[in-house]
Amino acid sequence: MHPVLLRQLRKIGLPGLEAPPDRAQWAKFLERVDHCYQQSDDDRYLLERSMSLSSDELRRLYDELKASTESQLAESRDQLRTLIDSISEGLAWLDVEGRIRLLNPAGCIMLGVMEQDIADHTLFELLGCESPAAPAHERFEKVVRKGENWRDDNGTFHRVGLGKHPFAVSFQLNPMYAGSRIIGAVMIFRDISRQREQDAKIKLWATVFQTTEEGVIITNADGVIIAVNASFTSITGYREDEALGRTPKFLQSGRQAPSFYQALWERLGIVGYWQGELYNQRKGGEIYPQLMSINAVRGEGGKPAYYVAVFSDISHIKRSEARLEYLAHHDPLTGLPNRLHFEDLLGKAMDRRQADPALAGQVALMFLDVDRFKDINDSLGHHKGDLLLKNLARRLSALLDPSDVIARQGGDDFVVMAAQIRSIEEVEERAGRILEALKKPVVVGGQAVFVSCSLGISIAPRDGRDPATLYKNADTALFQAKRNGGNSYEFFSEALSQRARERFELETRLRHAIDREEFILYYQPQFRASDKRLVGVEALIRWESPGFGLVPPGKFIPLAEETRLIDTIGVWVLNEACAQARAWRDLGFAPFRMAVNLSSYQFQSGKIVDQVRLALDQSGLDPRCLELELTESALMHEPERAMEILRELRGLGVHLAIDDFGTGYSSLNYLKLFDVDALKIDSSFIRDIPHDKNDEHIARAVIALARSFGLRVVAEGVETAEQIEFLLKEGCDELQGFYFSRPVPAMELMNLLCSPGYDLTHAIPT
Amino acid sequence: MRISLHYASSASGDSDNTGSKHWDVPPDTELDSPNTLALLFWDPDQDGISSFLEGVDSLFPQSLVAGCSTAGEIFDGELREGGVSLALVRFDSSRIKAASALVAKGSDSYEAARAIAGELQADDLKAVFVLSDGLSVNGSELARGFNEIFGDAVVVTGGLAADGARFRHTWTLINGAPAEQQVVAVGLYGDSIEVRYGSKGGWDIFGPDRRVTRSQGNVLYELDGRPALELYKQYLGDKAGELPAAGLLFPLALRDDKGRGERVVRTILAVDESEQSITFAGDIPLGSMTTLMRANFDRLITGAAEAGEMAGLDTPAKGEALSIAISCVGRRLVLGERTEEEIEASLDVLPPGTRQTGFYSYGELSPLTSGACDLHNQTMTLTLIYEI
Repeated sequence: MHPVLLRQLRKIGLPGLEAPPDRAQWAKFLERVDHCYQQSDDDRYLLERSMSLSSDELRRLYDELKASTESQLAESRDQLRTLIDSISEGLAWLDVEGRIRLLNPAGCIMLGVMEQDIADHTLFELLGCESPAAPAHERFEKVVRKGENWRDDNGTFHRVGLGKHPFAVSFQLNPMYAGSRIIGAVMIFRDISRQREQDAKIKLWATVFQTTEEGVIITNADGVIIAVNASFTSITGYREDEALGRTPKFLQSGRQAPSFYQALWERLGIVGYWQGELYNQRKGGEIYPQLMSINAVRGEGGKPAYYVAVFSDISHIKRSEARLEYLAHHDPLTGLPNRLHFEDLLGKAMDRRQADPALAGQVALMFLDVDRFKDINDSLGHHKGDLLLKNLARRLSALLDPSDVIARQGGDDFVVMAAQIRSIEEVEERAGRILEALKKPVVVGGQAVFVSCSLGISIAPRDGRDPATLYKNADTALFQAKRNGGNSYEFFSEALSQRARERFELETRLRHAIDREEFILYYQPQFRASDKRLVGVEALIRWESPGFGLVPPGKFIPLAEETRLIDTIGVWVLNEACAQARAWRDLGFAPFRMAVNLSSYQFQSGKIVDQVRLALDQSGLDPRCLELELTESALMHEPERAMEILRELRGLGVHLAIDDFGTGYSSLNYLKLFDVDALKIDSSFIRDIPHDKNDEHIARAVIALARSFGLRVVAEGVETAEQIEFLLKEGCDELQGFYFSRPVPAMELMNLLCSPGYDLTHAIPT
Repeated sequence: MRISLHYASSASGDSDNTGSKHWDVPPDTELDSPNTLALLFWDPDQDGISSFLEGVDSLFPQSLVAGCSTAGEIFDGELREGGVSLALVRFDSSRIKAASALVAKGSDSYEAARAIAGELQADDLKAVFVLSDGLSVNGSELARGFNEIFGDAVVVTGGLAADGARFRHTWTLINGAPAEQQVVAVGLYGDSIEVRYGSKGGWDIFGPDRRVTRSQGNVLYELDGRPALELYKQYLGDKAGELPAAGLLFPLALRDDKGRGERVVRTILAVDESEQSITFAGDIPLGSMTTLMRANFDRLITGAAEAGEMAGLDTPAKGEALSIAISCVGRRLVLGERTEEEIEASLDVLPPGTRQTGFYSYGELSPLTSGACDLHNQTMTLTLIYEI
């Protein structure tokens, strides 16, 4: 029984059906059962009603929703279509077979197809690979089977229409899903033909930019470098990274004035273009010429946005120009200036002097002609003749002063301009140097050739105020020198020529004097003041020339020094004096000092120590018997070096004396340092004693000085008894002069030595 | 604690309500004490009920007498009607205290709850059992007022008084004659007292979601731009004349405006033909989503059993306990002849020795899972009280 029924029975007091109910209970029971049915009906009514209503409501809602969804769908489909149609890229939907199912207008135009015809075409047709074996099929399979993307920025499509014309394309395929299933692919593509062309053009331009031989600099409007090419680096030496971000100022050489750049910018500002030559500096420091053109590239508003400078290194052009210039002005054989150039230089030099008379020096012009060159040329041949000329040109160039100009006139004619001549001697010296230098044999083709030359000299303004006159007169002088037999020079002025001839002759003779044994030594005795005993002799050179008689030293010693003959002469004197002293010793005379004068040149030659040692060795003379006399000027020329030489000479054991003391520097400081034995008071201070009190003071001071240093004092040029008395009184050690004896030959001195008045015992202090 | 249950019905046993009442078992006045709670639940549609209730009060001068009108009394596993149910509970070592407040209109509810809570508040306050007027109150606001004071420290349970299926007048009582528009509450104090609760519905939603397009507080005017009353009338069809009681057949499930969150159930208290409005037992916020609900017999009964299981969890296996079952009048309306099944189900799961009292209400109060009290509709809500 239903539990509700059981409950109902219980409630009315009928717990079971064992006994029949009374009427009242039965009525109550029926009432409850009826109520229950009633309620059940009500429940069913409400349930059914609510189900039906609810169902209607839901149906209505569904319809509304459907309608609204469909309209929304249509709307968004339209929007999507508009969107797709307005895309400038091609957009296509491909099915899994690669067939085109949808193509937007941009895509239609690119592919040259009407939208209604697209279904006939496939992706593979576009790609031009319809064979199923083509890799494109495999690639596409990956998109529609595996969901991969396919992108190609460098593809080629073939138009469907328009003769299947191919075009460059960039495309991308993405799988298209319906839920998790791939139903095809979406392809976006773009015609990149123009971009490709542009790229190619840019590449071409970049290649031109990079490979052009001209250097290129691109700057921004502020002049800051934003690009340079490879040639920039090869020309300037600066790497790209060293140039970028800087202004081109660092390339400047400083050769152009600021005004140059100012003008450049002005022109760039006005016409936007500049071209010209300028000098810039390479990274390595070398300054070089450039031919440069600069263009202003105008941007918005016509203002310069960039500057492009293209330049080439024109060093080689400049060098060629310089070479041409050089060839035009120089003799091709010798490389010396040619006549044209020389005349120009000469004219300028003369003009300068004319314009400014205060300018030191005069202009001398020397014509030089090789003696008998025609004969040499004929015998050697032209080629060797040319070599000879080249050789001579080199020699001439080497021996002249830097300020001199030498040029080849043509043939064997040379011309020299000395523009800073201060004396005739200077000209003579140069001329002598030239003659001497050219006399040395020239080796041409393994053969020694001896040549000489002749010089004709004119000096401005005396011999001409213009180049033409000077030329003419130098030529005249040359003619004279030739007529005199060559190997000589002639001045245009007769007087100068005379003097020059004499000097030349003297020099020639002097050269031969040694060989011909024309020199002779005279000896002047030196006496001890205290007892008038002979303690030494001073060797003095004399020149007995066959043609000139006895030539005084004052005349030939300067010439010998000038011509460096002094070196040879000095050695001869030293050897001769030592040999003589030794000879006297061998003859049994008691030893006495042999004083030998050394010239400044000889002392500074660097050979003196060896020369002295050799002279002593050869003669076997006791070094203590040799005294070398040096002038103050010889010592003071290079005091440090002089001290060194003196020390070395002292090492040999010889005596050292300072000659002519008082006439030179007389530096007490150095006197202290120079290690010498004696001072010789110059005869000029002795001569006027006792009349000149000033000389007396000097002599007295020198003597006192020498004594304070512990030096021996020798007075030269002693001629009177009063002088002797003075010197004795002042404490002078030794005396020399005509009062006792003039310089005499060796034989005569021996006579003196043998005479009773000369006691030579203990002549040398031991 | 000692419990004694009594039921008074018309002397003749008739339901004509004219005769005098007599107790099935005379109330044991020995139980009268300051610690005695006398709970009265009565059918308000009885002549002289007010003086009868006063009489009961005078029988227990020391006890705390509280109660309310119902839509059916629950009495130890049975549904009783047309009489008065009395549950006497004398606590051995627990203290009780009563408080009350008036609610003339829904908006008074919040302040009324706060006043009562303030009065009952004490350190050893364990639980508060609330009986409120069932028509003038806004149960949601009432719950909010209690929560405001107690937080989740005090268990608040109870229900809204009912007036059968009439929805005209509801009464509550506290130590005297019953009164309308009143909220009464009993505080239970001490370490010995234990109060458990459980609450379950068992309704199914059906039909489309409907948005509240016009409402104010607990008064609903329109759903989806259409008068709510019209919708209810359409669904009730022939039964529309039985509104508002018939409205209980279609409670409203309520969610927030996004259609999210826990569904709360709202039951109809009144309808207003002139305004075309429906008044619900709790708030119907504007914009919230609603769905009609309908009964599922089996689930209603199962729900009642589950509420019992929830309340009975962890209780001692024996000893006396009082279960106050408050079930919604809507459930009774639907269950009809099967109503007692849910009453039995809710008692069967509790330990032996548990006595049952309670009533069919216009709304239930009990804590949510969060612990805070809230108004429920269409549920079986149990409050289990025992001493340890």
